[in-house]
Amino acid sequence: MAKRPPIGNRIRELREQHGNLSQAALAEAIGVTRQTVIAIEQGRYSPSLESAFRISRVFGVGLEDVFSWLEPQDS
Amino acid sequence: MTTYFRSDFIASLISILAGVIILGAYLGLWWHPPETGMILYWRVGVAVALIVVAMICVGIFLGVANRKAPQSDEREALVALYAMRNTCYAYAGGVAFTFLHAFDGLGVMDVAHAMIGIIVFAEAVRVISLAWYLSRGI
Repeated sequence: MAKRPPIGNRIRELREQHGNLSQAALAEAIGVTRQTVIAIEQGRYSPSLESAFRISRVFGVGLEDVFSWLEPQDS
Repeated sequence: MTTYFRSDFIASLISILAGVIILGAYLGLWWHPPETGMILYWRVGVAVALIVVAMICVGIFLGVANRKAPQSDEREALVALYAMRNTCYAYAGGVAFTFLHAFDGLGVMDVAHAMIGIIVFAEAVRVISLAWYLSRGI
């Protein structure tokens, strides 16, 4: 399986805070498919900088309020 | 999924099917092997024409049935790029394999069908890659 990018996100939480915005509605707002929103939300895909900005603008927050860098944990 | 991605995927499946039918006829599994090069050209030509017509029909149908789908998608574009890379590997491998066996008494009809086999193999690699990267992540 592809290695997950070390980027976390709060998209699900923000969607719920914005009146349970559906994944399809978010996808339409940022101009990607619903499958891509699902992949971003599940951390299977890192969006382009443009899409990341679009997502943060939909929720009216800053980029780092949506995405965060996950520091690798020592095993 | 975008309409482009769907119709592209289906086009690959149709081309694999057409290739398998032609190769099966050559191997004597059904129909009959082409007696001359001209007959093979006709078979391939008709197959290509059918693929194009099917692609247009599928594209129109998907476009109408899925009007809300975005015109493009960054992840699908990346998936298609990765799949194309694997397809190029398959083409290169197929050509190298045919080259290595080119002097093993192959006839022109064998080489011609080997080319069709390479296309079918490469398209199969492409379809599998598209499905794999789309579902598992890139």
